[in-house]
Amino acid sequence: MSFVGPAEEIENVALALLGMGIFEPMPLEVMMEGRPLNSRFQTSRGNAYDALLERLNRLLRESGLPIPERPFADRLPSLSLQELEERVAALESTVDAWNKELSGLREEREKWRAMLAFGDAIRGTGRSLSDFSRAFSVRTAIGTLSNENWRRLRETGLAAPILVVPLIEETDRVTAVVFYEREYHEDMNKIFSAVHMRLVPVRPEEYGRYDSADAVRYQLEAVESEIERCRAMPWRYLSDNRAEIDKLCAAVYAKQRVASLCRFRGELAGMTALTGWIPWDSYNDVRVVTAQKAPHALLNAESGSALERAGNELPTLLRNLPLIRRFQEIVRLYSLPSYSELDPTFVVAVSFCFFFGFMFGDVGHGIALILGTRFLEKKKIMGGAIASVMRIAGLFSVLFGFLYGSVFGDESLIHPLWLSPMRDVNSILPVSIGVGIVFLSLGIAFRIYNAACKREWGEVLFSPEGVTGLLFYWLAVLQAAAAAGALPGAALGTGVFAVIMGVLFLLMLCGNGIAGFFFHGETVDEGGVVHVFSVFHAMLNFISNTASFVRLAAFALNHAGLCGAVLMLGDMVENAPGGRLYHAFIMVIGHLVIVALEGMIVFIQTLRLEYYEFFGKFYRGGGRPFAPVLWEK
Amino acid sequence: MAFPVGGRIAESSKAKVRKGTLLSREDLRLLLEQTTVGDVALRLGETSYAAVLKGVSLENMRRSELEFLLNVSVLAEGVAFRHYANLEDRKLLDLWLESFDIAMIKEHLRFKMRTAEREQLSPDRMLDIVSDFQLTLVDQEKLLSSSSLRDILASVKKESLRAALSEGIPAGLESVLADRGPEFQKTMFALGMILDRCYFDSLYAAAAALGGEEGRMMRALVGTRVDLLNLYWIYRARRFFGMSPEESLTLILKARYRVDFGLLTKAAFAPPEAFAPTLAGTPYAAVFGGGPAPREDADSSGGAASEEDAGLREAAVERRFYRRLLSVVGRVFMSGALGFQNVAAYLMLREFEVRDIVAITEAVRYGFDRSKIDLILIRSLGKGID
Repeated sequence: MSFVGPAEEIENVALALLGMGIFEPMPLEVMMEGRPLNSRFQTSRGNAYDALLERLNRLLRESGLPIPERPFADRLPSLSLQELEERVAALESTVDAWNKELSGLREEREKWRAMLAFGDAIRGTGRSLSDFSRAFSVRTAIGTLSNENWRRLRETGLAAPILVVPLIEETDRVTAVVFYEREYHEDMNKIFSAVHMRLVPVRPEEYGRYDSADAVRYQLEAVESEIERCRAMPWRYLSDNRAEIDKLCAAVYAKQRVASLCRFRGELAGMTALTGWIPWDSYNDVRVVTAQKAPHALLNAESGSALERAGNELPTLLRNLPLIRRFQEIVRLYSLPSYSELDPTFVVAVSFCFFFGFMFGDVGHGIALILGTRFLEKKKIMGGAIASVMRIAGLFSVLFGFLYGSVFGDESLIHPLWLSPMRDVNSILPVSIGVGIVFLSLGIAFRIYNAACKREWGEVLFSPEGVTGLLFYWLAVLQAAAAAGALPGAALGTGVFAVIMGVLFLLMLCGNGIAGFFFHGETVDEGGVVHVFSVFHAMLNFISNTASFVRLAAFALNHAGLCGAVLMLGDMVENAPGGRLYHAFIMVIGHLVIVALEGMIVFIQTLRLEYYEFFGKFYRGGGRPFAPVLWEK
Repeated sequence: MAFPVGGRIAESSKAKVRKGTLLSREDLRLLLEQTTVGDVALRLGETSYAAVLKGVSLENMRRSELEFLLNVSVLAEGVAFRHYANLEDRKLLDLWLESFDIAMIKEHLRFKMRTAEREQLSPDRMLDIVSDFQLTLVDQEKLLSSSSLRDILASVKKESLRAALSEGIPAGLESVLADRGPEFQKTMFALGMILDRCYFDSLYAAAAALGGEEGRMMRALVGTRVDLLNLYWIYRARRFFGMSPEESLTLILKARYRVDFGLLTKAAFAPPEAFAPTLAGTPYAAVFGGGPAPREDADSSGGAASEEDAGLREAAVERRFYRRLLSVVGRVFMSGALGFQNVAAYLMLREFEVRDIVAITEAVRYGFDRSKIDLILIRSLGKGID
């Protein structure tokens, strides 16, 4: 979308777009590239309201007030940046006056505390501070510094003619006294400055005034109560003017958000131009809003596909049903689909649950997986979409557990609704291969669809992962199934089979040439020899990819075997002294290991089937997420 | 155990593979032959720096932008290792990459102060370039929109660093940034030192906590730099800033590797001409002009006569500083041991290469005498194999 119109109107549209949460700004230069007026637009990417908002937030934070809620405002405040700045500055100056006073009082407190500690230390030696002020050749300086700088000062003290003694050691600061020769005063000042030591402003000649510990303590208490009074003042002032401050916060926030949405805008002769992406189905809403809020603005929309063909990188917005949306994370882990690519999330969601349940089918282990995920989620070890995916996967484990009749590996508790992996190996193996064939065919179909969307007809028709390849694959599968006796009567005669397969193979080998002949302009990425090898490679992939799905059955068997082993170990120790205890121990540990270790392995295997066997057939990815500017920062 | 080992193999292998993408001497020589910064950028666009220069108009590139983009490339190289690293290494990597955040803070201070005479990149453009990265030490948006020292402090995410920085700002200067008085200049210097100390002390502490061969190598990599920095800061404080020995000792890091406080004190109290002899018996004497010069120096310096120029002599000290580190990096790769040290060594090589490219770009931009470039470059263009 491009909007061009008076600045005020464009800002009103921007506010409305913020409320809708559907606009991702893009640099004006990208949209205007190669067009007239491009170089005449003044663009600026800064947001002057960022600093202002931060100043306001800091003022509230430092005064101990909560930052107010920011409900969406449907009208933009009329105050200009300068007016808002003036108001914030006025608030700051009022609060700063108290802060300055507070800072002075804190320094005063530091002085009294330091003098009390120094006085106590001197009195501990049987002398008084006044005695000390009469020492002419040695000077003293008292001050506070951070622990890190205290370490540096102490270390410097090893090399310099000074003596450093800590008076008050706190968790983050140290108050110390430094003794040095009178002639060393200038150098010492440089060292104090280098270690950022804040010196107490008391000269040795004045030490006599701090001789009485009670008097010093009295002063200290007076300063502390004054600090308490002063500390409450900004809070009180801001609380008393809360309504006005909330209004100011709302105004600055609204302006900041609008400026953020308009950060790539361009200015030309009093007009503002704003460009960005919106989802296509929001176009009508945006048109209506623009007509209402900016009657003098021009609106221009260009279709994503056209922009993509022109070489622009468009953002991707995935839209799926709430439950399916959880599996977007699995897709995103691999890579987000690019703009015009098919979103495979739905198929991934269904197949992921099916594969996981197939390999890890057990009622008890499924429930344990759900509870374990919930526990890890509470402990914040696992979170978000992955935890949801694991919970749904656990649910499918329970479902397949009923199909297999398995509860914690025990197949005697419930009757299997379908089969038992251990006893029906001959049934489960063909099923797993069948699932693989369907899944791979789906992958190839997706590739055909993607290529068709891009009008790459040569790829659609003659590629090993196009229509010809799919026919070749299906024919080979059909013949193999017939030969294995699974589909009696479906077998073609050897000669017919060989001829059809040969023709299909030749079509794939010569696909590039044929495509070049029939569909002019289609570019060929690879040379002839490479293409021949890639066709052979694709043929081998058909075999290896299909065989890969044997793992569905293998892991189902593996699960049953592992459970059997745990049950057997438990039975072995049951008759020993204290056997029941050992039995329970083995059961708990064994099943925990199965859920944690095998659960993880099956999760990885499922990902492998998705990413390698399925995505490998059609998926390119490399998309970037659609990131609209929202009202909430 | 399988995962940490897998991660180490992956990150070490990637580091060695990426090392192969560094520029050759011939590439550097070609850069030096260019006539404008744009030409240098165009040539870099054909190398492993292409990714970071993508989508930018190279012909009209300014020196400041190119320099910033090159520094971002080191960050990008580092971030790419995050996917391979285990949790501990990831923390270490993040800590290592905080050097970029530190440089950003310093650069921003310089920009706001306009202390540098040369052109500088605007905060808007910086923000645009780093918008793809999540910096760990600083909130880049807050930093680059800050208009006072207090704003800059607020942009620092690490509590301890924020506290240390606020300690270095005198009370009256908190809200000022554009004041260029001597007190402010002093504060800027102090802030720079606090940033460096915080970074290198934390990094060395993290390296010192590692065990085995990885720990030994990491201590050597970071520790050598720590030792050299401690000595270099004392050297410069005494020689150029007229600081007293005691004052110069307040600059140094908490971390120590081979040079203890006793030796640092000796070096600080030594007169300038005796600085290097004080370090005799340590591997650092040659860096400061004592002991036998490294072979590469002898090859490339063009004779002692050309080094008489004081500026070039100091540049040669800095160059030897980095060449010393280069030899430690070489040892890490030679050892062949797996671990984070390979990533760190590779990132150091990238950093040094960027320094060299920046030096070449400056020579091109400001018309420096290119025959003397070898006195500045960390990697000699003269002889040797890549």
